Amino acid sequence: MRFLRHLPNLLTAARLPAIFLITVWTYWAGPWASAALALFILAALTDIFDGWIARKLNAVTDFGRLMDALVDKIFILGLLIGLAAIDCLPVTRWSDAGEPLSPDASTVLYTSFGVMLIVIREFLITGLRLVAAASGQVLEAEGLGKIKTFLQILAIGHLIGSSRPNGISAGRSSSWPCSGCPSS
Amino acid sequence: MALFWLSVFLTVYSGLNYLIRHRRHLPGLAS
Repeated sequence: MRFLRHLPNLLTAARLPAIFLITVWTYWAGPWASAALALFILAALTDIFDGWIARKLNAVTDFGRLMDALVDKIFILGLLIGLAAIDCLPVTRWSDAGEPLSPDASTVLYTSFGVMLIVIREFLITGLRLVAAASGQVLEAEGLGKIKTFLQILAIGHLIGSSRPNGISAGRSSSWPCSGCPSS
Repeated sequence: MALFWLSVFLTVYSGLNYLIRHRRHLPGLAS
């Protein structure tokens, strides 16, 4: 029974290793990308259910509430960084011949600005919550913030779903250790 | 990419909205 009381925090913590697995499976592409998408959906569901389970088990703690919000941000930002590193952000377009069409430099630059804006926003809000917490007040997430998180999850799911259709790597990725690459 | 940019827009908008609504917690911006 003691284990059950820790279940919400374990579900929250499980999203951290999932960042690495989702990124590397997306990179491996082919069936692995489907596994990455499935794990991503599972991890996104834990985001919903950890709070629900905590309330059901009457195991809501300040630590759990803080970590849930923090791990949410780490999960989203970690995946955006990982997906950018494996050329899944911006989305790779494909020619009719199945060749990857590299995005132009300005698209990559503006996309990085988008990620920077998310980083800035999340750190500022976390900072504000910490300042409020220091004076004994808990600032809860609001409706718009929850819609924002849902949209981020949809966007990342779309990026993972739009990854390479097979294990053959594109561009600079060819020197990486992926299952579809010829050994170098 | 439209979804990505929509999420960026909503992230920034909701962040600014949140900061403005809770600005009393920010030193120097309490008024």
